[in-house]
Amino acid sequence: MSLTDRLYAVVSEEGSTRPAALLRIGLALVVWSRFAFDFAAFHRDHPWTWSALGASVLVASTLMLVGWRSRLTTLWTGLSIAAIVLYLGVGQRQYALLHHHVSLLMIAVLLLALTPCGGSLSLDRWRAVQRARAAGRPPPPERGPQWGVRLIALQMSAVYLWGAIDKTTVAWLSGDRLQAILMAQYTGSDWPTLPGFAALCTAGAVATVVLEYFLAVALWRARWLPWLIPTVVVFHGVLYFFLPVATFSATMYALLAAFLPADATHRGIDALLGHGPLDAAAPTPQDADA
Amino acid sequence: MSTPTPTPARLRVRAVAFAVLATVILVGPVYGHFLATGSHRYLGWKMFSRKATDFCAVDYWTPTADGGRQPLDRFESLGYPRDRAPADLWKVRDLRAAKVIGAKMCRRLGGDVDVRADVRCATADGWVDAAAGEATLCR
Repeated sequence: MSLTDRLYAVVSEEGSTRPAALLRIGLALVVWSRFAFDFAAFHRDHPWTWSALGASVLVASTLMLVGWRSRLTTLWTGLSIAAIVLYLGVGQRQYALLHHHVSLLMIAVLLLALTPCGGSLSLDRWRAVQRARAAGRPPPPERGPQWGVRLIALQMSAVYLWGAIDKTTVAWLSGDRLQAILMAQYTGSDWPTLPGFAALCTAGAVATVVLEYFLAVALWRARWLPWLIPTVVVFHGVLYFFLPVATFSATMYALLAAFLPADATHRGIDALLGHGPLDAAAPTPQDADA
Repeated sequence: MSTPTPTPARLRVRAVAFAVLATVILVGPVYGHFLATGSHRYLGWKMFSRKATDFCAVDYWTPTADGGRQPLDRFESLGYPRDRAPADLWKVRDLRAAKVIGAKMCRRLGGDVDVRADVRCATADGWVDAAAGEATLCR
């Protein structure tokens, strides 16, 4: 199969809209978690532009969460975050808004607007079912194009890949950087008294790089997901607990939904609701790798 | 909800959009990681490259008569409980700050005390030795 044929196969692929819906719900909640406090109305020292951008992102993400005009409100949310990054981050030099976790959230939400993210678990879906019932037709199938979801998965892979490339240095692999990162949080200018601290940091640094290179590729294998997802959850959970990574871990958790085999996820949710066998969520040979 | 079967024209648009966006996602970070200068060096996915590059690890000590070293606790020497010490004493920002703290320790300890410091500063390239107790800080 040529590259062009593969490209057309990807953009022609259809599947359940439930993974995109899970992404929509997860990312909308992360948007609230990241921006709700910073842009709340009680900050009296903020100029009106903060309030306007805050209102925009919070209203848009609320509509995105409930799935009303989902693609449009998801695009609105993404553009609001882009305005925050460009106007307040770059223009007003609010460096906290230029962190990688904000950029990743912005990119993921903008890419989500390319997906049928309102096709399931949304007000859009509710209205579609109501319209079908009123017309005496069966509910429309929850299916849509998957290429936007593939781009979100690719973005998550790229974060792991480039994160690993950035750490493939003597400074990181020797453990020096990890020592400094941990000391900056826990012991300040004092060398830790934990026995073997330096060796543990070297081992942790090497393991992190190996894991990131591995995840960048391995997450695309659907049948490995049952053990890769817990690995990702533990990895980012450890980062979240020990280091100030803000909403980065939560965003990566949400983005995992982009790797879920769409139709197996659909069957799995059906099974959870009592509409199918519990082993239905296991990927079948028909469930292609992401 | 389902979408109607895409027309060939729509598929072409999707294919171009996918190819462009996928290329930007995968190859775009090359700029920040390898080509950029100035503040653009931080573009790309460099989550930990700027973290913890604003302080030094410092060991204060005083020489002993037998040529050894007696460690000095900067918190104890300056009369602060460790958990309530000023932030710039807990995390010493640079060599200059380490020398200022050493000089304060000299004044507090009094007499002919000789306070020296090993200072290693955290940088993006790892630890860099800034001082190895070559000279007394009590002047």
